[in-house]
Amino acid sequence: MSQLTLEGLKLGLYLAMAAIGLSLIFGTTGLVNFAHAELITWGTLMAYFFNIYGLVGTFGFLSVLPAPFGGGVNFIFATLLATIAGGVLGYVLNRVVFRTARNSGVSLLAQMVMTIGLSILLRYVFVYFFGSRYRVYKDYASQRANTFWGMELTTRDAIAMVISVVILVGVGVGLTRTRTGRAMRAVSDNRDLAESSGINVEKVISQVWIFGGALAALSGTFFGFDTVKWDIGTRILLLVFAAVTLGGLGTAFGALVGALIVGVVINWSTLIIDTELKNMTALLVLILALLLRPQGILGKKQRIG
Amino acid sequence: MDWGFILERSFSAMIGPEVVVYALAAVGLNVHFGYTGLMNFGQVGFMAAGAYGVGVSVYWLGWNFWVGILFSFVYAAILALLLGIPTLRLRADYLSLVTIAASETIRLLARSRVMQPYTGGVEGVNQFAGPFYDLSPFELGKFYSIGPFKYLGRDVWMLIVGWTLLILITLMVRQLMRSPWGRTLRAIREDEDATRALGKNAYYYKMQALMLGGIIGGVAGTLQVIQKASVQADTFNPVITFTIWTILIIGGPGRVWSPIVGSSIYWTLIVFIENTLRQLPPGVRTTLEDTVQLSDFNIAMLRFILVGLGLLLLARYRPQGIFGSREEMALDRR
Repeated sequence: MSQLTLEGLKLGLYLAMAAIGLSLIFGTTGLVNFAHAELITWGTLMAYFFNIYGLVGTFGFLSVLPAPFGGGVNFIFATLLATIAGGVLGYVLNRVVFRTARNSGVSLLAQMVMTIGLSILLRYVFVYFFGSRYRVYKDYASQRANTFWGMELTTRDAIAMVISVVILVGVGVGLTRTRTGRAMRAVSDNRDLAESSGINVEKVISQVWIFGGALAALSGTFFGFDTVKWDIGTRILLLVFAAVTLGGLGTAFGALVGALIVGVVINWSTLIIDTELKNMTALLVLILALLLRPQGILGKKQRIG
Repeated sequence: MDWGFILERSFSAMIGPEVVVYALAAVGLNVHFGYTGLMNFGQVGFMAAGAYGVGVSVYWLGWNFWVGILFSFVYAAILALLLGIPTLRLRADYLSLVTIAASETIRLLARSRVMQPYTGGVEGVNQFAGPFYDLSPFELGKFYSIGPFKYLGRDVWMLIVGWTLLILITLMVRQLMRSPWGRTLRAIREDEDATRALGKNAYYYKMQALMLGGIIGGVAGTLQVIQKASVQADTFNPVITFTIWTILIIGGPGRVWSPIVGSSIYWTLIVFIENTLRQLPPGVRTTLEDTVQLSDFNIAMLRFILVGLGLLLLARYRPQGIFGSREEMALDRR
C-alpha cells in the first residue's frame, strides 16, 4: 500500500507538470489543447537525442565530433536542453499556428479540431523519424532500487521526484508572487477584465505556451525513464485530461491537486483490478468528476456553461 | 512503374469496402457534429462497440450471427447513453474529452489479458462472419472485373450489401433531418439557449442524436469486421476517429452526401499516393530511403501524417469543407 502510494505520488508529480500547461492554456485561450501529449513526447525524444547524439550529432555527418557535440551529453544536461526545446516548440506552435488562427477569428471549436490535427501530424512525424521501436536513455537506464521503510525507489526516481516538487513549488510561488504569474492567473480568470486593466493578453498567452511546453517536455523526460516511445505522451493523455478536469479546467493549482489524486488513485486501483487496466481508472475519475462536480475541485461554476 | 496497376487500384479504391465503412461512420459523425454540433472525438469507440457486439456474441456466447448483429446496435446505443449522461448538459468540449478517453479505454480493455476469454485479447476474434458470406451469390475467391474496377467475389458481395445499406441510411438521415425532429437538432446546433427557450428539451434531443449517430457508427464497425472477417482491438485506434473527421470535413459537415464524397476522395487519394510511392523505380526509391527514410513502414505512416496535416489545414482555412457552405457549418460559430 505504501509502495503504491509512493508510485502514485511519483506519477502524480510528473502528471502535474504536464497538466499545468494544459490547464493554463485552456484558462487563457479557452482552448483544449489535444496536442499537449505531443509536447510531452517531444520532451522525451529530445532528451533521448541529446543524450545519445549530443548537441548536433542528430545530423548524421556531424556525429563524429567529440563528446558534447557529437557523442551525446550527460542526461542531466540533456534534460535541461529538452526542457528548453519544449518551451521553444510551445512558443512556435502558438506563434505560427494558434495566434494567427485567433487573429483571423477561427472559432474555438475549429481551433480544437486544429489541435487534434496538429497532434496527429506531430505524432506520426515522430514515428516517421524515430521509428516504432522502444529505446532507452544512455544514462540512468536501469538502477537498483533503494529500500527504505519498506518502500522501494531508485535514486533516479527519487531525484526526479525532488526536482518535480521543487519545480512545482517554484511554479506555485511564481504564479502567486511574480508579475508574470499573476498576469497569467488574471487572464485565466477573466480575459476581458485582465485586458482592460492593461495586461498584454497575447504576450501572456505566449508566455503560457512557452511555460506549459517546457513543463510538459520536462515531465516527458521523466516519463521516458523506463522506455522511450514515439507515442509516450498519447498513452498518458487520458490521465492528464482526468487530472485537469478533476482539478478544474483552467486552474493551475487545480491541475496540481487533480494530478496528485489521479496518480495515487490509479495506483491504488491496482489492488482491485489488473495492473494492465489501471489507466482505465482515469476514465472513471473523469466521468465521476463530470457527474458530481463538473467544474472540478478548484473550478468555478460559470466555466461549465 | 506500373501505372496501369496504380490506376486500377485507385479506381477500385474509389468505391471500395473502406469507402463504405468510413462513409457510414462519417454519416454517424455527421448526425453528431454536422447536424447537432456535438464534438464526438470517439466515433471509433462506437465502431468498436458494433464490431465486438457481433464478434463476441458469436464467438463467446455462441449466438446466431444475425442476433449478434442486432445486439451490436444495442451495444452502440448503450455506449452513447453512457457517454451522453455525464457530458451533454455541459459545454461542448467536455463531450470531446470523455469520448476520446472512452474510445481509447475500450481499445485497451478489449486487448487486455483480463478480457481475453471474451474478446480474444490481442489476437481478437475470427471466424464469425460465415453466415454473411454463405448468402453470397458470387464465388468468394474469384476476381471479378467490372469496367475499371476489379474486386474479389467476397468483396463484390460486401460492396453490394454495403452500398445498399449506406445509401438507405443516408436517405434515412436526410428524411430525418428534414423532419421537425431534425430541424430541432439544427436549431440546437445554431443556438442551444434559444431552442431551450422555445420549450425544447435540448438534453434529450442531443442524447437521441448521439445514440442515432452512435448506432450508425456501430453499423460501420460491424461492416468493417465482417469485411475483414476478424475483430482486432488495434484497428480501433483513436486516429481512425480523426480520419473520419477529416473525411467529414472534406465533404462538408451538415450536408447529406458529404460523408460519401469525402470518403471516396480520401481513399482514392491515399491509395494512389501509397501505391505510387511503393511502385517508384528502385533507384529513386533507394535515394528517398537514404535521404528522407521512406521505408515501407514509413509509407504506411505517411497516411496519418497527411490526415493530421489535412485536418489542421481544413479546420483552419476551410472548416465548411471543399463543397460545403458556411451556412451549414457548426465549427464557425461559438
